[in-house]
Amino acid sequence: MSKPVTSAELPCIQCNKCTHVCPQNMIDPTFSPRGYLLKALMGEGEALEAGPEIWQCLTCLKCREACPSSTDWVGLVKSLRQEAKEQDQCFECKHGRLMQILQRMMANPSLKQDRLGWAEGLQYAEQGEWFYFTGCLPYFDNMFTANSHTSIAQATLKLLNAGGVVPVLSNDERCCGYECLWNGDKETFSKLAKLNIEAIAATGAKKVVTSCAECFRTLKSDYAEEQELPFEVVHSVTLIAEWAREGKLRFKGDAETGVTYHDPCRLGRYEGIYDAPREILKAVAGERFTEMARIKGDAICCGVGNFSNCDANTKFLQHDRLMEAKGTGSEVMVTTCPKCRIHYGCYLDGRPIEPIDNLVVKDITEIAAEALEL
Amino acid sequence: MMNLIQDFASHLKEAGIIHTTENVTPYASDASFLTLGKPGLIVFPTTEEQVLEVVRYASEKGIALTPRAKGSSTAGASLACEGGVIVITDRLGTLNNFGRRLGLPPLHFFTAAGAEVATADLEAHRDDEMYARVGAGLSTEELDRMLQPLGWQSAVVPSSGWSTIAGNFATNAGGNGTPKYGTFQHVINRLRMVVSRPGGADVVEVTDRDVILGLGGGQGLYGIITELDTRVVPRLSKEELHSSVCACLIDDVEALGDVVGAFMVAMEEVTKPIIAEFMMADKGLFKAGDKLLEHPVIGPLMDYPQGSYKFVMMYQGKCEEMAQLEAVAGRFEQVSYQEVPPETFKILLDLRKAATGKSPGRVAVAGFEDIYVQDPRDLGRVLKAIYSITEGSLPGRPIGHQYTGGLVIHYRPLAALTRAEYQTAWELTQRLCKEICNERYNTVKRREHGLGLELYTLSSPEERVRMKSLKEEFDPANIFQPHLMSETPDIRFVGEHFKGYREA
Repeated sequence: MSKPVTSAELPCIQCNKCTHVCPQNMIDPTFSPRGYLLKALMGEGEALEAGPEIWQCLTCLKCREACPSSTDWVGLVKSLRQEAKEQDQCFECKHGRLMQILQRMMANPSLKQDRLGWAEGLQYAEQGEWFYFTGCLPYFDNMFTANSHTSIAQATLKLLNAGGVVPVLSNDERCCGYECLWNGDKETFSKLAKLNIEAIAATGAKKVVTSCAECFRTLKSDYAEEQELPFEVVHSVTLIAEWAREGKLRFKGDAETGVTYHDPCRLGRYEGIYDAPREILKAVAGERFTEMARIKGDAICCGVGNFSNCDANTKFLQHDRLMEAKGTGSEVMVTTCPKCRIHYGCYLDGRPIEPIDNLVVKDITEIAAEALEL
Repeated sequence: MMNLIQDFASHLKEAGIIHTTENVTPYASDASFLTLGKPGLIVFPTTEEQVLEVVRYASEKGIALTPRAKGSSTAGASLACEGGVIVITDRLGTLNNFGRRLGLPPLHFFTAAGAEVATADLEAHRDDEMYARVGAGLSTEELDRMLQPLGWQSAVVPSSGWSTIAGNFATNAGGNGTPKYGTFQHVINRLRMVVSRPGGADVVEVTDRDVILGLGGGQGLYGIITELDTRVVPRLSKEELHSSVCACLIDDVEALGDVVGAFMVAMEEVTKPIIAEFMMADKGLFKAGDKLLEHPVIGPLMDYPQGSYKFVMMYQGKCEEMAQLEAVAGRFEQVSYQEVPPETFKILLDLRKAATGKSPGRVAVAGFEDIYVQDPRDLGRVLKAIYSITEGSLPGRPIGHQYTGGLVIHYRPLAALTRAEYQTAWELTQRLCKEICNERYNTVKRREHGLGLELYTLSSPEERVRMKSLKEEFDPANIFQPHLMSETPDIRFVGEHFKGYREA
């Protein structure tokens, strides 16, 4: 490693709590954050860098939730991935490196996009206080065909309109760069961050709303590490919950289908937003909203980190979570991350372990917009 | 040795048992930061049959085995010798139908006499001694997650709910519930264990409580546990629970210990707490501007004039079993008493837990020995000695558990995150124990997670005889943790091997 790992950076006390809660360890007993931290502390950092272990981590942050000494294992993984990338070692994104290619294309400053077709017939602006950051949703419809993804964007825009907001949509928006950042490609990430910040600032927007947990985390916290942001970033659930509280959006709480909620890692453990989605689901579904056993900080990851490590292990994790959702008696597992929906949708579509019938995964904006008949 | 290990690995491969001979460094230490060197082979059996196969082969070839659950021992209990074999047990009884450690396995309940009780009928047994049958790899936290919807919980809950129930038994852990129910050796009613036989292996079921008491705290010396019946108790409602905090403030630490010790003896005569914890109030536990210091109960409790000492005791139990506590406190002029809501009590417990290890930018030193004060009336001189030895050294504070008839003191010096200070702190704890744990103070050296590498040396002659007898009965091939029977354990601080550590 170019930079030695010091005990000051890794105050690990080897208690093993990280490994006990690690979803990868639940599948593969040889994967152990504690063990790798010991290796790092014992001066075997090079072995860490060279091995596949740093790509195996889902970066779900369950470990930090459990860690009594706030050891930043995920931060170590992130920095090791960047060092590996600098040496041309990179884990390939699944789907034929599709996401990596898409992001590099988008990082081209002269790229021209036509990405607003999905918004036809809905109200949006070219300049204004609010900016709706749609992320890669318009592209996903052509990439992951098990579900419609622009339906999330449409539902979000309808809800924003219903709340009295006519947001800016921009053809100059790019992918937020989440996958590059977590795959070690800091260079592409920084380019995307710069282009997006400029595109948003050019519209005069002071508030950016996202409907994706990963876009939210990336814009709010990772962009802020790149430069001071000229705007505030909110996830759509915060607004919808606030408007429901204020009576701007009136849900009847009479949903006919049972719903449960899956906390995405980036919205939950990374950004601490647990209550807003639950408020919405209680408003929408009333008594038919049921919690799973593992919720909030204890929620389990969807099994895929930045489209890189989708394998047989992932399918077992997804099967486990979907069965947990089904165990609540719900017909719908709701999430606030389109990528969680893609990954769970992939399981339900492909049924690699066994079929799980009568369960669908939906985005919270879709559920909320349907409930309001928007 | 290497050939033996390679042959063992080949055998495991043929038997379809997960193992590794390459990624072994992560198992060179545990939470003790002690080491005996790098092991040569790590085995991950998932069923009792696989454990049986591992033990049978090891017994036939004379290969030593170190059972290890989560490896959270702070006493070096789960370390193998250089090139040795570690058997990880946290998959036992915890896998789903697909062989993954996902979800939670089904629970079965039994009476003390061994009669199975259907889950639906559990409520009818609230007043009975009840046990849950669990796989060795299940953690207390997982068990409690399963018990919570039923309105029950584990009788003893160690502060580290992540440790496995078999590991808790092997280290004879205590925790919340210990003042009333005892340590783990007291709350296990039956266990299944894979043991060695000359040139082979066998599975035994142990139900004799006296034998179970002897096996508790055995640190894997007698075999590999695969299943246990562990005691469960009804979860008390807020209305049934009495939570209170007592404090004593005196400027002389010896006088403080005398008063507190006398109070503890008096309260034990008439109360029966489920939780009895204590800590010295210490502003060093808080970050500047910590909102907790504004808490109406905790703020004043943690406030004390400079130059004085404040001892804070936390008690929780059934209302009727704690009714006399206020009257006892009233007999001691310097002891204050206040009843607190369960929510506040939980914050206090969390603070007490934090006092064992966390402080901004610093970590507590693992591998630390505890001081077991056999008579609370000796607390004054013990506290005086602790403060005199640690004065001017690293920051730290006595904290601990009050068990019936004695108390366990952890003195956790806090080290900065540097190798040098970590080792200084570790050496300070060694000195503390050397000077305080003796007949003069009527104290004995204990370790929070069992005696670990010093199991044999710290045991009494009677205990050694018992250990040898159990070893002969359950491990005639002498393959389980043979190094723990050494009178001169080779204890090395793992920091000596930490090439990556740098001075700050």
